[in-house]
Amino acid sequence: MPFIDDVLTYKSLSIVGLEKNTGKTECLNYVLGRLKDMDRRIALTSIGIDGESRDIVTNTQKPEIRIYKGMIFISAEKHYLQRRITSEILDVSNIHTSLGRLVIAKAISSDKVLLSGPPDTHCLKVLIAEMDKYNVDLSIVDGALSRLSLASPAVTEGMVLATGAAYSANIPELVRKTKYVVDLINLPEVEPELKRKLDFVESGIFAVDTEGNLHDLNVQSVFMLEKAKDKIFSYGNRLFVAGATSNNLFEFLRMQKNVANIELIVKDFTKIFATPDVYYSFVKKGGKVRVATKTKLAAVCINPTSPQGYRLSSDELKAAMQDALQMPVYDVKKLK
Amino acid sequence: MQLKSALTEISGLRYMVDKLDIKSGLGLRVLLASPFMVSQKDVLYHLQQVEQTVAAYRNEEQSKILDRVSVKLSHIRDIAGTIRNIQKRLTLNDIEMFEVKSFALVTTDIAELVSPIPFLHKQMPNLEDVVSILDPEGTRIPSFYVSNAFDPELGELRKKLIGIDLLLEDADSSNNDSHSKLLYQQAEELRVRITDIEDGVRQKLSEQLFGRIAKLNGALTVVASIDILIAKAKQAIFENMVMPQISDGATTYTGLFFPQLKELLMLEKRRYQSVDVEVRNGACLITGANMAGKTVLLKTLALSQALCQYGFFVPATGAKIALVEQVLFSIADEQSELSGLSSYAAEMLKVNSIVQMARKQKPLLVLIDELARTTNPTEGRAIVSAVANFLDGCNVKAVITTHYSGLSTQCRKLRVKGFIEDSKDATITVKNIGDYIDYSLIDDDGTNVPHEALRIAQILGV
Repeated sequence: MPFIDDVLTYKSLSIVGLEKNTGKTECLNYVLGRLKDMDRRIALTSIGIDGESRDIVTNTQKPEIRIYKGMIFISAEKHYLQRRITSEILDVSNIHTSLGRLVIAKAISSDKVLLSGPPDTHCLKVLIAEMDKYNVDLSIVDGALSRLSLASPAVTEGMVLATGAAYSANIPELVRKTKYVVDLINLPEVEPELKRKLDFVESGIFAVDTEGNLHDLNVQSVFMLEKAKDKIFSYGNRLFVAGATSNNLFEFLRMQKNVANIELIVKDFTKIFATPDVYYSFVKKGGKVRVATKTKLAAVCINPTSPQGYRLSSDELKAAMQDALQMPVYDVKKLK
Repeated sequence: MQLKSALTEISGLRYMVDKLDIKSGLGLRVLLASPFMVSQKDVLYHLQQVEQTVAAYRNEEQSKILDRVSVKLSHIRDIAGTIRNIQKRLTLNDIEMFEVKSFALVTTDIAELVSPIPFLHKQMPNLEDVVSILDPEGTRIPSFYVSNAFDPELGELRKKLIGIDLLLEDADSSNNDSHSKLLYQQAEELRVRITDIEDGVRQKLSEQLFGRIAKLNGALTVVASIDILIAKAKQAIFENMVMPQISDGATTYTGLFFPQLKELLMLEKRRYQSVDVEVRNGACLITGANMAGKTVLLKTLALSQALCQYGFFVPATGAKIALVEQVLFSIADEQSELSGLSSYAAEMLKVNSIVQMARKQKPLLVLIDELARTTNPTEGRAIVSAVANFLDGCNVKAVITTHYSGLSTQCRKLRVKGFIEDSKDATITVKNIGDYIDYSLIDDDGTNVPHEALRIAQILGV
């Protein structure tokens, strides 16, 4: 039973796809199907809306998420009332989404459901913490790596990454793009003392001095960094950006004389929006990147089929991927 | 006027309401909608409720109970919307059923908790029958679904469906099309049947709840009022407030203070001087040096009157309050360049509306700060005298502050004592000036206004 034992060591796990149709849902269904017979209490939520029976973006058939008896799932009011599954409402939370409040329910029968989840990272954290109340052993987040979602799946302890032909139909290209994301996920975390401070900071750009104190540069986003150029390195070479980081920032940092000593700290890996070439050229010149919250990569799953009809060779893709990532890779369709 | 609208009008009221430790959204909603009470019976009833709650808080045993009630109150859901749906005889969905059930369970818990406190306990409606409608298995767990216990047929049908679903899973892997098609059809038929029964159960439950609508509504009011009472009582104890008596004649306060200012000064470790004041029927002029606390006095009078008539204790050591129909005031600078009015014009319009209201002979509390201060002193004096004389003849309690001396009015006059005599040599600065002012009020013979304006300007470094 590939990687399930690994999954069980986490309290929270997110399953994210690099692109739509990269097999995330199949991967999720595989995990749930395996866990159902184990004596563990599972809770399931999502980032944004998920579980539509057809993909509304590409209009392709999409496997629904199957919930098994006894599992806890979270769904917005509107979706909850449309469900087919028989389930018991345990609580209606104060977290509001565009589809109503979030309903926490326990499955009485087994069926497919529409999941929905908290609108931002903070609420997601709160919700996962709340699952303790229901003696949940593992909270699974159906995640997305997208700029459109304000909630970051990186708050979970572990992560399963789904990638595939939908992301790129060229094996070397797909491997390269996946490797980039895996590199970002594996970025080292800052020291625990600094992490505690950074967890409370939701926005802004800060200089971090050698003692780990934060100095607000009074810049709202990296796009306005130009204004504070003179102040950036007045406290040392460490810079913390709470929001998104772009190509501009990485290019700016790469051009500095002290680039080899610069350490950029971001909230989590999903906040890096630089393209791979820009990112790697910063790193190659000695620049360091660290994250305030790190998630552990539990597994990488591949889906060799794309919605446009490309079908890559599963074995070839798997071998190339394993070689590049130096970790086990699984084909979701072959996981049984 | 509802408390909600008074918040923006009466200075210091928002501070008091913000400081209330209301636990439920329901409590807050009901509090903000509470009316300005004018009948003595209503005011007394509400004040006595607060008094009893304060007494309960001072009792060690009962205060522990109230703390536990507070925790329960934070789990209360405002089901007013759901109750409206029951009233309209709509069928409730599962989420609404869950909310009614959880409300009923928490309410019965609260009723049980407060049983040793008789005045609270006797108000609590018994929602046991609502609980038993929604909890046929008697688990008393706040969760809800249309369980098999609601209809004997449900359990069997659901079991059948699970059986077919299992067969379908096997059929899917064996690819036997005609067989699985038949199974699908059977499953779909079962689902329709189950949904029918579930909907029937929901209709039946909604109908049963309709029969308890008065009780549910009553419970909503009582739970909200307990939340508000506990918060008011805690505040009364914390802020050293007192239950006002209702007076038929003058309104009198001893040790009156403005809580927001008092807290500010306490934080800076400075002295706050409370004052004694009597407001009789008719008009009263108050004079006094600048910075002598005249405006604060007017604001405190307005605040205390409002608190009393919204059923709060008042910030004083003793209070006898005559109820009024409205509190009218002209305090802050109401100049509005946007509407094209000067500060003088705006003030005159405000005073005019006060005069019109006073003419109706309704009991009012009228508070005017530095009347006619923005015009020339000759006419200003005339205006102050005229307004004071007019209000003196009405059924109002009017307090007007002014800097003008030598006014030709026969109404009562008070003066803020002002600088403490032995402070003449002390080093007075902008920071500590308050420590050298005696804020108490004394009767004034009306001839002599203290002329300390220049001295204060000097202290301010002008």
